[in-house]
Amino acid sequence: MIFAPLREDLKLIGWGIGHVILGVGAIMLIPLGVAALSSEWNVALDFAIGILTCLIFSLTTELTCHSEKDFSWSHGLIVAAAGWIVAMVLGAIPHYLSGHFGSYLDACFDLMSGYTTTGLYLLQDLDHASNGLNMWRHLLTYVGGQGIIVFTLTFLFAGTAGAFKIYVGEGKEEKILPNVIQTARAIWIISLTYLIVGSAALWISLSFEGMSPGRSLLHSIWLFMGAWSTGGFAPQSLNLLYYHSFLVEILTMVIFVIGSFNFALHYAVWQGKRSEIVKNVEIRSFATTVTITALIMGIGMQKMGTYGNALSVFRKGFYNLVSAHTTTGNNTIYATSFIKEFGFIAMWATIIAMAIGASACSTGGGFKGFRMGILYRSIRWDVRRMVSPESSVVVEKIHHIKDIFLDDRMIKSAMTIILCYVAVYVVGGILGIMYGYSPSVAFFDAVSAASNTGHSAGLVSPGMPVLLKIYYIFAMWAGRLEFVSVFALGGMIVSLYRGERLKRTLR
Amino acid sequence: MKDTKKSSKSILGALALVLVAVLVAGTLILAHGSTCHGSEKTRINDLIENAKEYDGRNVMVEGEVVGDKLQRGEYVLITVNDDPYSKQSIPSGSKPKGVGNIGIGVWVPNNKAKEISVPGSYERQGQYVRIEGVFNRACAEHGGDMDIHAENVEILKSAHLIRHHIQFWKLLIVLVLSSITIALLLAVRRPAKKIE
Repeated sequence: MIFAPLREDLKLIGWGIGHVILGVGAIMLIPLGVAALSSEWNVALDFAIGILTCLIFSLTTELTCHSEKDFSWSHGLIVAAAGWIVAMVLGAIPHYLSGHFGSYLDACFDLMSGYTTTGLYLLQDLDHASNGLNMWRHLLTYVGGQGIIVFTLTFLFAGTAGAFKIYVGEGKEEKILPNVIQTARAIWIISLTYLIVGSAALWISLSFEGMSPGRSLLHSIWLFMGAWSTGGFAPQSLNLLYYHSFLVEILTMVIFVIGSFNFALHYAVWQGKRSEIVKNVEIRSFATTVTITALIMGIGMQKMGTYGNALSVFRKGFYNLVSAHTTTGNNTIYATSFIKEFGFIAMWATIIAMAIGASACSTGGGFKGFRMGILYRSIRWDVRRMVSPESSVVVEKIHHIKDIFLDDRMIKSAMTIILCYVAVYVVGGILGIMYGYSPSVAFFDAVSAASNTGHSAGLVSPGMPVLLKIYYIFAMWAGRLEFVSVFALGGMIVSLYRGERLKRTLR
Repeated sequence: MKDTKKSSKSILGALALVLVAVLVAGTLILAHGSTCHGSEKTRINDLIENAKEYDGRNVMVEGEVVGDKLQRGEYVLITVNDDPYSKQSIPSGSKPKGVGNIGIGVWVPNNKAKEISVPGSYERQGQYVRIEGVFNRACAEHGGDMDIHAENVEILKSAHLIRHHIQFWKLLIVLVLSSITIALLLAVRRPAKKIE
C-alpha cells in the first residue's frame, strides 16, 4: 500500500527546497560582484534578478511551508531531488538573460550540466561571454561538485539528524566526521584549500605562458573550479586546447585526478593516514581501469596513426582518457576528433572510462570505483567459494578507510546502481540512434551525460533535438544523484495521485 | 599547295604550343593546388572535419581574433574564429545562431604579429584577420595540437569596442522584484528559522 503524502509532508519538503534555493541565491552574489568589478552592468542586473527571484521563492516557502518538524528519509531524498530541479530552473535566469541561449531549456541544460559537474554546454558564443557569466558557470560546477545540499548544510543549516538525510539524498553517504554539518564543512575546507593552492599554481603557469596577470588570475580560478569539480568547463570554447600548454594540461590533470578522489580519502590523508592512498579500494580500482582503458586506447591510436610521437599520444590520448575516467571532460581536441582522429577503438575505450567514472563521495560521476571494487571482489568471492570445501567459511573484504566485509546486501545495492546507470546509458544511446546519429556518437554523448563527464563527440549542440536535451538533463540529474532520490521523488509523485490518504502525524 | 602546307604546319605548330601551354599551366595549377588550397578561403570547420585531407597544406582562413595574444618565444599564439559571431558577437547585438564558436589556434611569427593587438571579448569585437599558413592535423612541434603555422597575416578589419547600454527593462524588473522581496520580508516578520 502506498501512502499519499500529507499536507505536512509537502510543507516540510517545500521548506527544505526553500533553503536550498536560498543557497543558490547566495552563490549568485559572487558573479554579481565579479560583474560589478568588471563594469558589466547589464550582467550585474541579470544576477540581481536571479538573486531576488531566489529570495522571493525562499521567503514564500518560509511563509507558506514553515515547519518545526524534522526530515524523515523520504523527505530528505525528495528535498535533494526536487531541490536540484528548482535550483536548475531559478539558477538559469542569469544564463537566459545573458542572451547567449537559444531557449530557456538550453539555459536549464547548462545549469544542470554545471550543478552535476558534467560540463556539456549549449551556450552560444562563449568566446564573447562576460566575466560575470563565466564566473557563474564555473562557480556552479565548483559548488555542484561539493553538492548544493552540502553548501546549504554548511552555511544555512544549524545541524540535525534530518540534515543527514538530505545529505545522503545528494548521492553522498559518507560521514567523514560524526556530525553531518561538520562533514559538510570538512568537505568545504578541503575544497577551498585546494582552490587557493591550485589556482595559484595555474596563475603562475598561465602568466608564464604569456597571459596578462588579470586575465590569467580569472582563468586560473575558473580552470581550477572546472577541473577540481570534474566539471570540465573552461572560459574559452576550445577548452584546454585554447592554451596549447603542456604545463597547464599537467596541472589540470593533477587537479582533476585529486578532485575525483573520495572526500573521506582526502580527509584520511590529511589526518596523516598516507598508507590509505595505496590500500584504498577506489584508488586501486581507478589505477587498474585507467591502465586497461589506456592500453585499449593505445592499440586504437596506433592503428589510426594520427599522433606520431609519445608526447602527442600523452597529451591527446592519455589526457582525454584520464579526463574521461575522472568524469571531468576537459579536452585538448575537437569534439569530432574523437571519431576522426581517435578512431573506433580509442573512442570506445573513452566511453568505457566515462561509464566507470570516479570515486564515490567525490565530485565525479559514473559507476564509481567503490562499486567496481565491490563487483570485482564479489566475482572473486564467488570463485573462491566455488573452489573451497563446502564446510569452509569464505569471507571477502574491501578496504575503504577501514576494512569492510562484503555481504550480499552490499553487492546487491552496488549492482542495482550499476544497472540503473547502464539502463540510462543504453536508453540515451538508443534515443540518439533513433535521431540519426551514428551508434558510437550516440553512445559516447549519452554515457558522457549520464556519467557527468562532459566530453562530446559532436551530438551535444544548440541544434540537437529537444527531446534529447530533456533526456540529457534527466540523465545528468539522475546520474549525479545516483538514482535513489529520483526514485523517491517519482514515488512521491505517484503517491500523490494513487496513494491511500491515511491520518499520520509527523514527528 | 606549298602555302596550304605552310599554313597547316603553322596551325599544327600553334596547336602544339597551346597544348604545351595548357599542359604546363595545368601542371602548375595542380602542383600549386597540392601545397596550397589556392587563394580560396577555407572554413575552419572544414579543416577540422577534413583534417587528414588538409594536413600539411597551405590554407587561408579569415576570422576574428579572440581571447588572448599569448607570447611564446619566437611566436605569438592567437585563436581565430570564423563562426557567425566573428563579425557580430552576441554582446554586440547578434541573436544566437544555433551554433557554438568555431576556432583554431594560429602560431604567428613575432615579426608578423606586430599588428595583432586587440582580440575579441565581451567588451569588444576583435580584429578580423586573414591568415595564410600551413595547417597541421597533429602538429609534432606542438604536442599533437591541430593548428595553423601562419606565413602571412593581414588585418582586414580593425577591432571596435562594444557599447553596453544599460537595459532599463532589467532595471525595472529589479525594482519590482525588490518591492516584492521587501513585502515578503515584512510578512515573514521573523528571522529565518533554522532546522532545530
